[in-house]
Amino acid sequence: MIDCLMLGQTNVGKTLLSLQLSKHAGNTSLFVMQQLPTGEIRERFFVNTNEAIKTLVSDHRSTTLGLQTMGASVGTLLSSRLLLRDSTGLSSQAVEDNMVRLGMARTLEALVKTDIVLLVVDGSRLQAGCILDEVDEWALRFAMMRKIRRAVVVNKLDLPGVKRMSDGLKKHWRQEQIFTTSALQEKGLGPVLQFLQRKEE
Amino acid sequence: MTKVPKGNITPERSKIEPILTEFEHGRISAPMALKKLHQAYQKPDRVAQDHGTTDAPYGLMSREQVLAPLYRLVGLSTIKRMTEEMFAHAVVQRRRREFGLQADKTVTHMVFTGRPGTGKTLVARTLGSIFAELGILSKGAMVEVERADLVGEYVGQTAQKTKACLDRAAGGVLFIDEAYALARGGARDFGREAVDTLVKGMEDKRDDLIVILAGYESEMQDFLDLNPGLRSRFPITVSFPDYSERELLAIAKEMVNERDYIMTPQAINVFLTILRHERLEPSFGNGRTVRNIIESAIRRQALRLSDQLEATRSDLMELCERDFSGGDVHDRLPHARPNECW
Repeated sequence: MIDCLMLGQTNVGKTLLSLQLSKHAGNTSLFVMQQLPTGEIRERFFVNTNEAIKTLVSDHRSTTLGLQTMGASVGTLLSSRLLLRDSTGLSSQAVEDNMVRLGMARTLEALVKTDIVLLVVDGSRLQAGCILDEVDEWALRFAMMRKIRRAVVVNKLDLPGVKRMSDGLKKHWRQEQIFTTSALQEKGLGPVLQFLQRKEE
Repeated sequence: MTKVPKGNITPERSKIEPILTEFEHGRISAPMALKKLHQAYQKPDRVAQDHGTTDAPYGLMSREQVLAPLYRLVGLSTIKRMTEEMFAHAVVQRRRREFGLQADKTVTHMVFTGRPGTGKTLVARTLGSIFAELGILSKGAMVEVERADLVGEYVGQTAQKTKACLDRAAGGVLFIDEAYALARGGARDFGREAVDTLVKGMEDKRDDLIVILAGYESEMQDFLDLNPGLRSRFPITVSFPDYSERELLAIAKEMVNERDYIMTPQAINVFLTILRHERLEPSFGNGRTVRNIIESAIRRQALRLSDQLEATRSDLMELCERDFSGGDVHDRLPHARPNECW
């Protein structure tokens, strides 16, 4: 099985994006395995994606704790199944909440092992000059050094100014693959899916 | 998980685990942890090979990456260009050393002149960390002092105080705000002694200390003329111009974003009107004034929302025009009704 890790800061829409990707890939029902930071494992089954979105997605920071493995098959790669792993959002600042920090540690651990990284960034929160946040930048550099397949997904295309920001980002990181999506309005998901399903060059 | 594609560097558990535990205990932040992971991977094979390659002189950092914290600031084109020059200098000196040529250690003491709120302190702090990454400074921390920290009350106290400050700043940046105040007290003032000690200390710690003097343009010129040795010891003078309206708006937007708020388009219009009036005031504090306007708008928004029982997430984020103007636009203007206050 091939692991694809959804990485990014808190509240950028990793969970919603992964649910939408799985929906876009043609899955109706969804099987989610949650690995809580404490080590406990919980399994959940959703009849359709909308139900999953209602349960798993919220406006608050750090809704997702630990790793959530989407059991739906998103595609096949080298004749093996591709797993989407949704993770706790990282943050540049110090985190007081013990649970959230443990969750972030699990994210880092997953980053060390994963085969594909999708770095999700919030287009509306990108800084002036289209520079990635510190934590995103280091995560991307880490992925570059591990020479694994990676792509940057600029999410929240529906908000004003995001298109321009993603264009600026493309100039900054010319060698990287950058997609622009709106998980809320289900836009731009096709190219990301194609990227995931494509065979390795 | 079991099948690892080609090109994937296999991790070494023994190196990864201590970093993760340190992160779990909250001793390091997430970017720091990633940096450490990055280094843990890098050490065995890459560093040895990469040493001395041309395109990435500082580990894996390119010029854009080293200077990113500076580029992130709005405006300040002169200082950006100057730092690029210094970056190029540091790179070339390093390559010269590799070929066994003489490499000079640059003395980069600076004078920052400009009106309040033009970003002098912020730039000094940013430069400290950039120079540390460039290898010009060993630590890169900034120590901010003013007259009271350097000048003592009794004979003999001044030299001690100044030396203590220099020691504290060694390996980083010593930022002396309102430096002209050192020469204010007349001929028998201890300020002179502080300047003399400073000059001596700068010479002693020449390769690992950057002294930055900051203050108003004209006063700083008078101050530098006072001691003949001073001007030559501060070869770089950077003047910080007042921000343009566009730049101030960009700063405001960044401040608002940082605090997780959003300005509506109408609010931006009102903000600009207020700004135009404020700019005519003699006490206009550039970035500082912008911060004050934003903070007062945030307080007004809080007041507006405290009555509202069912505020949604977007309500809590939005700063609308009423928050800036407090009713009518002209009521807020400082000339119109000075006592009008919410």
